[in-house]
Amino acid sequence: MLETIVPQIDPIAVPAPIWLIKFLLTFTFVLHLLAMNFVLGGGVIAAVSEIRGRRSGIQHHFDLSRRLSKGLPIGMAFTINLGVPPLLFLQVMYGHLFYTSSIIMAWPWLSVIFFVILAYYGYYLYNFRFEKLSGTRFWVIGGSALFLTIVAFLYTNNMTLMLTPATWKEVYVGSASGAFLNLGELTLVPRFLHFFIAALAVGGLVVILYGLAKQKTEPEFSKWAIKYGTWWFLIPTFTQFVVGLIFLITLPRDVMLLLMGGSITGTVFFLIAIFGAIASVMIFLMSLQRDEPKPLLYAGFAVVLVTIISMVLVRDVVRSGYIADYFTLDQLPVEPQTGIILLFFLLFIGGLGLVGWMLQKATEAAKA
Amino acid sequence: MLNFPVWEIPYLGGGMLIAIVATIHVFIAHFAIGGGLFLVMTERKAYKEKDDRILDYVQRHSRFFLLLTLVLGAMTGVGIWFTIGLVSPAATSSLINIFVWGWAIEWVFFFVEIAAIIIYYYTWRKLQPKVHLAIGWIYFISAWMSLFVINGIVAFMLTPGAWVETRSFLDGFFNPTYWPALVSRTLVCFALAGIYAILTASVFKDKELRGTMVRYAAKWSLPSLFLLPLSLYWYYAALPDVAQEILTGGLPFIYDTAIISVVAGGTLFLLVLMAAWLFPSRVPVAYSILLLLVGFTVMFSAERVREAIRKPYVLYDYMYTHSVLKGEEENLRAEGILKAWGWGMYDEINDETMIRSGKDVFRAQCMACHTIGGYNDVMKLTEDFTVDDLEIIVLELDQFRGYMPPFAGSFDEARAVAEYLMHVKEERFEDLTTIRSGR
Repeated sequence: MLETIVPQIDPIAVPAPIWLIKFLLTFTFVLHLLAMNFVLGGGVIAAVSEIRGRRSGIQHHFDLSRRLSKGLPIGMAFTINLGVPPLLFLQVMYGHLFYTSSIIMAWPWLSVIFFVILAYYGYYLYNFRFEKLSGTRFWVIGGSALFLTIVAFLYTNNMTLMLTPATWKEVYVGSASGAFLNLGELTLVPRFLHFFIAALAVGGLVVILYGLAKQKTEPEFSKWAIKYGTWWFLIPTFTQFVVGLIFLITLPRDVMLLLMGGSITGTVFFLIAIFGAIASVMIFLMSLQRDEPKPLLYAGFAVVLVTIISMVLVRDVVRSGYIADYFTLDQLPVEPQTGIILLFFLLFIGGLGLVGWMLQKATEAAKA
Repeated sequence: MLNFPVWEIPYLGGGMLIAIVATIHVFIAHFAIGGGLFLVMTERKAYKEKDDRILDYVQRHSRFFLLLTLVLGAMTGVGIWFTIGLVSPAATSSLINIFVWGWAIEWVFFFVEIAAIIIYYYTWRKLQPKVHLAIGWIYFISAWMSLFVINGIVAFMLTPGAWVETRSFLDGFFNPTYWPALVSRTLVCFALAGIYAILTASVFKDKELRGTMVRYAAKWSLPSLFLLPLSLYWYYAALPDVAQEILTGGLPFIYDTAIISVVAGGTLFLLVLMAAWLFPSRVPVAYSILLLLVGFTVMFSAERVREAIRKPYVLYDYMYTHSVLKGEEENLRAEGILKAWGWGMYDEINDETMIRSGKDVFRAQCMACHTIGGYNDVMKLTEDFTVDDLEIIVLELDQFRGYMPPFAGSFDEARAVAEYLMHVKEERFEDLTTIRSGR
């Protein structure tokens, strides 16, 4: 066994307090997850609906996939955009780990770009040629969803590989060609499934939202979509209890214990996440019985959001636990650039304002 | 040193891989900026002249624009980021740490930019012209602002200026080549806007409209292409002496690449001029694709040159191409690179570990620029050398081989890499004789 090598920390100081970087990482990562879940989960749901629509003859399936076809490319744009800040802040804090694992699996990692481009054009094709494609539609949307699933799998590879420096040298000494995948990692498959299944569930919530938006204008479709979306949330989330459990027990023992008393943050948010998941299942199950499910559904959305945020915080504790022997954040040199930080926040708020104004104009136009 | 493993990329080498991804990106990204202004100005023209055909044209052009810039433009941008992290992790890490807030600000503009272009595209003929135009303006301004930001970081790599002393964000950002680079890139944006517009106009059936639009599009390219040499000269004047020397013949193949860029630029000017002057209403699609190809050649060779004149640094006056920080080489010569790098198989060099350690030294010190048997082939460059020649040259790289960084390793390691290269040579020679003799 070769000794473990972890590259040195960059001597150039981090130009912001670490808590700020961490906050922005968490905040933007949650947004990225939501958008990503929509494009991945929504893509799978659209593909499945194409088939179910054809088999059952229920037109609502096609109405739904038509709506999804319009939303997915836009969702892609924001998934990519919102993926930039978390990746940036990740590099600020964990760059020496992340670059190294990326190099070890360079070709698979770089292929992410290729797969996203293919999936993205597939989504646009599905949108712009929806009618003309007719019979081949399933293949286009299914292909795109498959490419994004591959991307998710590659991300899971890198995100686990960056946490396990002990693997690196052995692989690199053998070959520097960067063709590695982290298939030996015990948590790889459960972790990937955990994220993938969550995407399906959140995709289901978007279907519910489509349903709610059409309550007045298309009551029948609305009712159907709310039910259909609810099941898309419930079935994956049931499965999640099993997959999540497997993920938990495949974690290294000392990392797992962090979530069971070892770390206060880890334990508290882990409990919130578990209760959130259970509560959301109950709420959405109850909503199926109601004639006017709206209030329950909104409550369900809120609980899911809290669950997702808690899970992201738990994920952070797991990451720190994995690498505790090699690196802790307090090792980073810090020299905040206050002026530029302020400029960033000013521009960010201004940017949000501009986008808000444009959205308002666009909504007005859509209503007119 | 920031001791990252070095990725081995067969045939291309890291520099070429970056150049390919980067050129595809900038060729679209500059269009995404200039083309944004083209959209609003042309839309305004259509309203002013009350010409619905022109409005139709801009609307169709905007779909092409959306599909190209939003998908391929954005993703190849992320692609460059992925690629530089893989090929030059140490330099990428430094750029990220120095300019975190620059990157973050650029992201804000990117965010506004994509929101604006999506809304612009989906609200055609649904909004009052004034409001729709305003959204187009928001798009163009935020797109150009993202250039304003990224230009500081890109120019920094070649001319960090006072940053090397002060380590201040603003010194690094508004560095000696910042303004000439910004002006040059802005001109390229408008030149490309016109050339892409000729492409979308050349598919028109309506001959008269095609003529009008081709002439109009040429008005975007020609002045920009005409002014470009001036701003590039300004850029040249702001370069470090060594970079100027490389560019004017110090490295013959870089000089040649620069000449290709200039000649292709001139050709592009003439081709656009000819199209607009002689046969605007009959410009075939193939001709406009030719324009794009020539434009691509200009960009590819210009970006190649910009990267190459940075030798022997990856971040000027701060970090060498092999990721060793300037000033660190003395220590590394005493202690040895393999120990500091950590990714080699053996700690000690002896007769048994010689070849393998030489390979590891090659990975650590040479592979950032050289390949074996591909681009910048080290075999070809050392064709007639004996192992002793190799050893001496390696130790004196920065003296004898112009524009290479100093070898940052021990005497033993220089010997090892020489032995390794000889070994590869002999192996290849044996392979060749085996093939030739048909055994």
